[in-house]
Amino acid sequence: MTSLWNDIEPILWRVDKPARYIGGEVGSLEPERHEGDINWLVAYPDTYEIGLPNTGLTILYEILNDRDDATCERTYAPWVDMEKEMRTAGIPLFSVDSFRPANSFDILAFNLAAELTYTNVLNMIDLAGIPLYAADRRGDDTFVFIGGHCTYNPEPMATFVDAAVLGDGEEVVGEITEVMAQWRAEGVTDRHEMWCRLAQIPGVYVPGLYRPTFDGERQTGIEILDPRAPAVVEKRTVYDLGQWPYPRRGLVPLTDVVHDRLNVEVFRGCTRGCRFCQAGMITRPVRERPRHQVVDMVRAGMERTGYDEVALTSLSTADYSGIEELVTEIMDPAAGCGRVNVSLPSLRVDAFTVGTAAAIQQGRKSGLTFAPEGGTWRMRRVINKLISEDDLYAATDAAFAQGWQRVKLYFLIGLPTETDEDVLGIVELGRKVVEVGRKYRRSITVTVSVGGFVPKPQTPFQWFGQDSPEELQRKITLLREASRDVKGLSVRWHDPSASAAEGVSSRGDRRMGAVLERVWRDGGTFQEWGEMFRLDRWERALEAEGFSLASVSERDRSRDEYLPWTHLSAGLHDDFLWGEWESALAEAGTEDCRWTPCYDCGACTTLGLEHHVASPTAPAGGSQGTGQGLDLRTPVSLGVKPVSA
Amino acid sequence: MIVLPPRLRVRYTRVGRVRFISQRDTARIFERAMRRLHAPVKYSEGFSPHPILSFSAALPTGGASEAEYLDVRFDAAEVTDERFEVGESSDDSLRAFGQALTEVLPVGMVVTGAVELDGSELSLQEAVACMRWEVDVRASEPPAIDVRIANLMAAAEVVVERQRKGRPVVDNIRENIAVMESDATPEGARITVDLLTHPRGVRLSELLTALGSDIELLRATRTHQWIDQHGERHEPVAVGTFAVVTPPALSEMDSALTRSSSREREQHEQRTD
Repeated sequence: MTSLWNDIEPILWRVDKPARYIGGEVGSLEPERHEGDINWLVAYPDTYEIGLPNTGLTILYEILNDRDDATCERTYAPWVDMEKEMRTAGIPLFSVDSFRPANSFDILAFNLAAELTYTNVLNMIDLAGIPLYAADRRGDDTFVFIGGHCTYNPEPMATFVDAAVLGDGEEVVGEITEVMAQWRAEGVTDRHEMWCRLAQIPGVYVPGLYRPTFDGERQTGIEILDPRAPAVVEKRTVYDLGQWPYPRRGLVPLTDVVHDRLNVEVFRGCTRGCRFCQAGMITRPVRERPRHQVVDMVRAGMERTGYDEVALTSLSTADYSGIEELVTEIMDPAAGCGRVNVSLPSLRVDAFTVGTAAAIQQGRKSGLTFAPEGGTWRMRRVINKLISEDDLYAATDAAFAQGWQRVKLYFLIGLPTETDEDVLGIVELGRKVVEVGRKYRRSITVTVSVGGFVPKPQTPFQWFGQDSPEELQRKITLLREASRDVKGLSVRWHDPSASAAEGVSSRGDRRMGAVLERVWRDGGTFQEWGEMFRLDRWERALEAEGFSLASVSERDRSRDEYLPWTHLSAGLHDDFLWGEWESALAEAGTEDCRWTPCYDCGACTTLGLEHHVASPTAPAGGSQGTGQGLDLRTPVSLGVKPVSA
Repeated sequence: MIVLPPRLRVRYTRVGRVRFISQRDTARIFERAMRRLHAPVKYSEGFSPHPILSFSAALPTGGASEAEYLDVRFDAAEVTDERFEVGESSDDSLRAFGQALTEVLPVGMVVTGAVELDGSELSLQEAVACMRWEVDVRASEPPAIDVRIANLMAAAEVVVERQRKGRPVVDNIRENIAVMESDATPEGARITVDLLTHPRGVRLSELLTALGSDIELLRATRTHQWIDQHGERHEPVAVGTFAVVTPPALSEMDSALTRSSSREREQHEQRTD
């Protein structure tokens, strides 16, 4: 197929931010196709500036293009103005690398990182001219795949996709390529046969080979339609990151994007065990990248990209074994990384971490963010985020003492067992942090940022019915009123109606596909964007399909209910998840198993793995996971603490 | 070994798909390109030091150009790569630098010339007096483009509405239009226009609006920017020119010495800020 560039070029004058559609990044490729190649088009279902920095897609882009039997190009969701121009001009979804039309690829593979992007996936399949339902696709039609964190409950997307991939993609994309190349060589065009062969690959779930059964609002089970489909699909796990030093040719965009810096992943997985956190459950066990390799990747990356900043990424970078030594080594001129700013995007709440952050911060210290998540010690024991008030005050004291002037605190509301006292505890913590800061400077500000909790599949809170938007709004009003007279404290919040819609896709069953389709057909694309989101679209769509927010998002599930993701496994034992739920209700903490004996969550034993860490000792500072203060009601102290260990 | 002068003016193109980036994107691309090259660019002082690069008038997003300019300063203290030195440069060094820079720029951005500056020059924004655009357009209604141009050139006033300091104002842009002509093309017309930049520049979009609301812009290329010197226009850097400052003749030595000592004083002041 030829390039659509000559058709695309004239409409770019008329659209906002045309650089979203031109590719041409440092590190990008215009792969040549050879007979027999399996051609992948990887897609991020949001704007270019959100999707381009996605590390997962960048890694797959590189791994696939390094193969002799595959090519890989990229695409992103065209913004509304561009979509309109494309539909008017009859231009289909295209790759930003070679401008080939999407339906000239064998596979269109979406990264699903957020539930509210699902309607964009539908729109992009439609723009590509590919039949919307997997069941309607024939022989040579492009296969639609999904991967990423959201695929631990892919059921709302099940009717639209040929396959969902669970877990790390590095190895499985090669296996999929080989399977497809084989059936192409054999001349197989029967879609059912192709699905069955895909379903043999560990980690690949083919929804079309399973039929869920329902009774009213509940799912009651799942029928397997072909004996070649496995009863349970287990996720894929890359055990040794040291063998996968990707990306090696990360993309440097020509235009503004989020996280516009070199990103080097230092580990995967997290065993802090926060019970609300899906990422911390589904990515176990912890797998650290060897320190020398991190330094090599930073050096090579800075050299190749011309960036002046590197972010060391993970779910909790301060937990990397020997983080201080790593940072010191990167910043040492002898390491050859050049004039580099190091940033740690996820800070742990303790003074020690702030000390490290201060040591590497160059230039202006603008703002520092912490995530206590719960407003009271009781609430934090429920969610197993075991940060004591002393930890928080010591951390923020250290931040203000080091010259930071703005501190931002992230919290969730709508958590299980939450009372108004817990909600008001958020303002109380914020008020005391303001007091801590005022010892240093009158002008400091503290921002409390509040999000509505959406329960996620494969977590201990997967049974819990989320708060209605009205209840979340009531709690936000409580917070606003309580904080009104607190000088220096401001409260920001996430739209509670967006949390409600997120819940529909998060825990919904296969029947939510029809709801998503209605929302999409009603114009509901880019639902992550406040200006594009309206809850009434979702409520109308739910009602038309015989559902409601109450029956999908807000309903508690009992332990004996068959959950729509029961046949999909992140390795976690059901007993572990339920046990954690009971511990939450009992306000009992669970320690971090990196430094305490194994409690058999299932991740390591199911996968035949163990943690891959460089140090058996718990990090200095911080109470969580080190066994301190689990049943202690910590007295509030506002004393000055040493800044770092 | 590439020896770079303390001050350099670079001419480059922005053609092909890369023209859809913004001027801010262009600046960032040059910053990163200089870092990838390990070019010893002088950094500003202050909380967040940044490389000192200054550009000619912003090129609109989507506009192509064969004549973009950039002034850059180099600093011996920033040399980290033995390939580079800052000092007495040569034409060959500048040519080699131009090639090396092109290699780390996106496709469509090509360095086409570079000349050393002695520090006495006006900035590009101040110096450029006139620019030429070639613009392909299509009009959906009569009259024909050439008729509209004739009417516009015959008018005493061509007014455009603008926002200034948040308030709507009306400006006459007729004085900015030095020459405007058109040729018929299969698609419509190609307009060639020379726009004066002082006292206030004119946006291409403003000019097209003045020609009629039905005008569709197909392509636009800035082909020249000129500096006014003793009533004659000169290109800041001609295509293919890679040249160091010619050593001054004896009679001019005094003024050159004064200039260089004032430059040293200025550098010294910046260091001690």
